[in-house]
Amino acid sequence: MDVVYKRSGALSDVSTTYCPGCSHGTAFKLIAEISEELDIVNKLVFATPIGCTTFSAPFHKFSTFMSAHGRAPANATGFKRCNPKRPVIVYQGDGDCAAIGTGESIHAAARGEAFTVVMANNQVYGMTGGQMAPTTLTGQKTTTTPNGRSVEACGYPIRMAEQIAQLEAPRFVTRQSLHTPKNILQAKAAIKKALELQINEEAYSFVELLCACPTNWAIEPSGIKEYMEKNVIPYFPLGDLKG
Amino acid sequence: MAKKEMWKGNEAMSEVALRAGCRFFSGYPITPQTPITEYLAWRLAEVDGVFIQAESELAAATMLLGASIAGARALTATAGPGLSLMTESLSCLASGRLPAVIVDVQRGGAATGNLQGAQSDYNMVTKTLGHGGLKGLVYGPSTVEELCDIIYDAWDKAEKYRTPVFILSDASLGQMMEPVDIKPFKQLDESRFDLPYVIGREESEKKVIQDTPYAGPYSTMSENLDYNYRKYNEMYEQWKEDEVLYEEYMMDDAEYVIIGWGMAARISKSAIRNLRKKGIKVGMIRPISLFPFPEKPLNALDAKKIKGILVVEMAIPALFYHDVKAQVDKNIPIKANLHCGGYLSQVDEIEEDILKMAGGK
Amino acid sequence: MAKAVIDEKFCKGCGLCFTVCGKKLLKAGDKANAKGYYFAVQTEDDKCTACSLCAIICPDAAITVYK
Ligand SMILES: Cc1ncc(C[n+]2csc(CCOP(=O)(O)OP(=O)(O)O)c2C)c(N)n1
Ligand code: SF4
Ligand code: SF4
Ligand code: SF4
Ligand SMILES: [Mg+2]
Repeated sequence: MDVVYKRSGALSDVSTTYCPGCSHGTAFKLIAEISEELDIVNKLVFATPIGCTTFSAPFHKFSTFMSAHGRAPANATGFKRCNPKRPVIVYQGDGDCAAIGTGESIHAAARGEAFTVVMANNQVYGMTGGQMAPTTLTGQKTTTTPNGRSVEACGYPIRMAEQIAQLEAPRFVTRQSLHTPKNILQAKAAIKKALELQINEEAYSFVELLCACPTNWAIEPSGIKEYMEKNVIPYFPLGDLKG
Repeated sequence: MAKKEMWKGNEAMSEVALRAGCRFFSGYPITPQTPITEYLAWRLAEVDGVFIQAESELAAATMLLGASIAGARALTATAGPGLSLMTESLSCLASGRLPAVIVDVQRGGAATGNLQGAQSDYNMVTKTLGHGGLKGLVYGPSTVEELCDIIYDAWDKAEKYRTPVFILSDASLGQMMEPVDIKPFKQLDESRFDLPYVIGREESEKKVIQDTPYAGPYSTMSENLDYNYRKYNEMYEQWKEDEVLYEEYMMDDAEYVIIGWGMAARISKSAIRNLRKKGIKVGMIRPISLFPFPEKPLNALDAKKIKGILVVEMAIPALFYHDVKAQVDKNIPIKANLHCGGYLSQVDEIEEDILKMAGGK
Repeated sequence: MAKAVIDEKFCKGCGLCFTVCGKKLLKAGDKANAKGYYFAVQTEDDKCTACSLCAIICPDAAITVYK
């Protein structure tokens, strides 16, 4: 019997600490598969954010370094400028990338740093227990918007990929989703393209991934597809914004 | 001895940093630090180094962290409000045991303050680097030459101990022109760029660099942090034996002792020379390393011989004064001469204070 | 003869794979793994087409597909 799909060899044999159905696992799986396909498992450096993926180092075989909350793009800037031969993925949550780290995110993109940002947009602060994120949808209930996010008090959710796409330097900016197998394969192709642009052309790319946090959305994983299609994708349209 | 050249403090330390192997600078313009940023902008380009004008001090100090993780000899410099923004990364450097050098060209006042020299950042870096209570080596030079000597060796120390090294300069030292020995280039090994500062796990080619030492012999994070920070503390204690630097000036027969550091000490030297002409036996102990603090020479001051101590400091409220007071014999009268906000210590006031102590002679 | 094999060590019983299998071959088993999750099992593997949709959607990379 031939193996047609197997667990990536770039993942370790440690089970993740993510909740059942959490998209962070899917995103990591894709990055692991891509790193094997590009033969960079031993070279890839993974810059972790502060969020549910902070302690992700045991789950895969790449080298990693941590950053303070929101600061990964600046940390990776210093790193990559001094160590240009290493492919670098900056993995960030939506709070990390688009709230506390907005300045670092925008300026790393504006400088066109030679790394790939993957922003996991799950519309909440997962790690701290489901508070409002900069991406929380209007009307969405979180622990800090108990009656639903109001525009009057909180303004509108930020579309980060669009912010990045209006800058000159980024080569490839896209928003993808992880809620169906088809979307997962498209997201994988996008991350792979971004990494190839980094490796071959020293280009900055930004891949926003619409992710599910079933725990803080308080839904069953089986309901993710419907929730995404009904609520999330209409506000965060999918597709390439640049490149 | 090499021929000395006239250099301003900021530029001199920048050139010497480069010769010490610094190949990375990230900074954000702020007076009186800006000449360092401007100098390294063109000078690092000449040696294929990396210069980044960051979007903030928050980012500048984080880039420093990244450069250090990468293995480069990295520098940042700031002043006043910029230091507040950098404290996040100072904490990460100290906790992640990452070598890097930070220069604070101190300016007056808190908040926006003003642009003249001061010593009010003393507590902020000698007591703890950012949140969490960890330490780094901290130096307070008082001449351009000393500033250069310290920065020339700063990365050797930083890498030896895997610690941030902090240099407290100030507006006057940065702008002052003095003869210095611009030192020869240090040669560094390229192997340093293979993720040298692993903290956590190293499994063949996989390296894990954490800003917090979670790994250790125990099963819980808290036990491991307790264990690892205890070891850090042993290192800090050992610095008291191995890394203390201070100067004694005219102390052989001194009956009155001025204690100060950096610019305040330098100004005090003029007062000492004037007082000596008047026959007052006054000397000085000048801490150069501010952490570790030179406790022993202060402990050794003999109440039978020393009639008074004057701490000269450019900070209000007093900061350094309390560290001195804690180390000297309680039977020796101690006074402080303080200025702040960019108002430098004054030679005539220092003389007056000592004369008062000496009974109005 | 194709089949999907679920590694009980990684499966968290999230059920995402159940929702994508066109043949409805996957369901929660009646045994829990070490973490307490009722891990997925494949029923009637003779109907499996090895389409891999289940493996692609699995966030925990718990599924190997054979053909
Ligand atoms: C400076 C600072 N402020 C606050 C926190 C607390 N904190 C940890 S994770 C987090 C939010 C993470 O949310 P997000 O970036 O969306 O990542 P997720 O967990 O959803 O993947 C916060 C606020 C912190 N660690 N550091
Ligand atoms: S809290 Fe949300 S984001 Fe965090 S692991 Fe659980 S599902 Fe994932
Ligand atoms: S998708 Fe994966 S983790 Fe979820 S039930 Fe199926 S095999 Fe288990
Ligand atoms: S490979 Fe396809 S047919 Fe077979 S179990 Fe998985 S989803 Fe069903
Ligand atoms: Mg989030």
